Amino acid sequence: MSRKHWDRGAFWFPTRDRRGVFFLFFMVLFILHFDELFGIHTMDTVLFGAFPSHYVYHFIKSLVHVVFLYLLYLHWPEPPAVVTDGDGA
Amino acid sequence: MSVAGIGTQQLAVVATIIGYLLLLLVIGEYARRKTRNSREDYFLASRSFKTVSMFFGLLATFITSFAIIGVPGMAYEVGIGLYGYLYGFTSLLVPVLIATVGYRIWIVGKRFGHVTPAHIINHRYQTEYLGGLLSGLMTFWTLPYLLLGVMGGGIVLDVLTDGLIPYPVGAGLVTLVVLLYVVAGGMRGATWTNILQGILFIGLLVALFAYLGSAFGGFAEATAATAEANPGLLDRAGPPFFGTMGWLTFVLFMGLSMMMFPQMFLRFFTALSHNTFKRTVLLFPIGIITVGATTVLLGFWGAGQIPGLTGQQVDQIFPMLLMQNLPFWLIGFGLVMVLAAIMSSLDAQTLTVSTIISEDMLRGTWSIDEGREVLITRGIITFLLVAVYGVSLLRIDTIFQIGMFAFQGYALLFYPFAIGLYWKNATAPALLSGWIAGFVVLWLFQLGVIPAAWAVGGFIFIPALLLQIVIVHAVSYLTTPPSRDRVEEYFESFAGTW
Repeated sequence: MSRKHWDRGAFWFPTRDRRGVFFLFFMVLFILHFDELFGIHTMDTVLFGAFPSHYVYHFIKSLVHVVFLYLLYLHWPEPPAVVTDGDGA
Repeated sequence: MSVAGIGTQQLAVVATIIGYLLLLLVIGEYARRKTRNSREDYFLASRSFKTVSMFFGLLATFITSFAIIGVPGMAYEVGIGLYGYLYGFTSLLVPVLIATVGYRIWIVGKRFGHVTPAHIINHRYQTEYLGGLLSGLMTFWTLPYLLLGVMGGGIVLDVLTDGLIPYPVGAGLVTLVVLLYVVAGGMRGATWTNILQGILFIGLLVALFAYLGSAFGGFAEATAATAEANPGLLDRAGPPFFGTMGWLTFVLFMGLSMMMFPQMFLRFFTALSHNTFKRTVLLFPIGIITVGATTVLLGFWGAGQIPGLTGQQVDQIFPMLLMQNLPFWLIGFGLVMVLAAIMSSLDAQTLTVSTIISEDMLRGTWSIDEGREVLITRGIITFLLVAVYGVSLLRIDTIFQIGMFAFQGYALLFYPFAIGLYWKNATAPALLSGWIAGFVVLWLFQLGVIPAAWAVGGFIFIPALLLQIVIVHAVSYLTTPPSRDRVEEYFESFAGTW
């Protein structure tokens, strides 16, 4: 057995197909989490008269997370027949 | 107005609590009637849960008393940056981990009939001992959380009824009700009550958020009051753990530990189909965001409403906001919300630990028929909760430190476990070596043998994880994988999935 037997079709591997785009999108959202890199951590402006801008930034990013998960939902892979045909015993 | 020295306010609160607890018992009894005397049905509800059960089961397990008491307290202290810190990436990472690793766990559970994490390990790696080690570690680290749940219930009932339900009675009441509905209905009892608890929790939280915002004079007024009391709370430049490496560490160990909480893990087996899974993954972040966005803002606004709290007092901010702003008849609902958060974790943890003890320690040792195993499990649940209640009367404060230690422990179980779902060459000795390496580093750091300077973001988690990764791969190259047929059985089950 080769020592390189990774399941490269899985989400966590960067590829050039649609799954690779999902992974890239995930990594972009991950990097955006580190707001110190973009100077967002010192923002203290109040937006809409009530909400600190730092909070608004992360709240909007959370909504983008939901959009990302909706894309996963739309492209969700079904399990192979060998799983669904089994009796679970 | 009072009855035998008890105020109307206290009576209203107690009546609301009793109504809530009775409702849980009714659901538990209904679940008992629907539950058959087989292990798959009692432990996993015959893998039959649809989206509502799966979503609320996972969400209610995810939300603990920390989310409703601890988070507002922290936001009061460190400011609005807490939302990004706690929920900014967790609302993506945890659902994606459920969609990928969790989905594969469901797949192998459905195909091979696994009931516990140890079943996967023993079957995937063709070992008899390694799964038992995982079960032992999971049980060991969950026991402090059971204690925290019972203690939390007792404290909350004592404080919010102004001593009418003293700590020993409150802790006993929470323990007894959880015991009755979990013993009666198993996974169905725990999950169906979680649906009620989840709806109550989310519904009441949103309603209280709107009500309190109005009571503060509007959202703008509330923010202005906090800005005046402590302008440093408006950004995230404050505490050292808010630094970049602190965020990275927290994000990783929060996300990975969630996946290895046994009470979360067993829920993955209960999904009826892949459709259940994908709908749950979509709904899950909406639940997390709702809880996080409201509780952080309430704590942040609390700093403007009740300034000057310090030390452990900050954890009282949410109950204090309720007491100061709600009419008396509504305070009981606030208490129900906190109890829902506590009990929905306690029930799942109790059932899971009992399932693991029964399946991995007893069934593997003695030949027991299914009906007898369910009966024994009911006995284990009873024993565990009675024992935990007994210990809770001692009110050991160090239990909170043990809880934080356990959090990192769960996270260090993750990589050696998950690698076997993505890499064919992972071996049993590599898995064992990875776990040992991670925990030795964790314990040596805890004992002060490893200097604090080695920590990243205040925790030793990232260095321990990196060491685990190196060791798992090195040992896998040096040792023999399980039989090709067994490995292929697993990987053909994952074909085309995330």
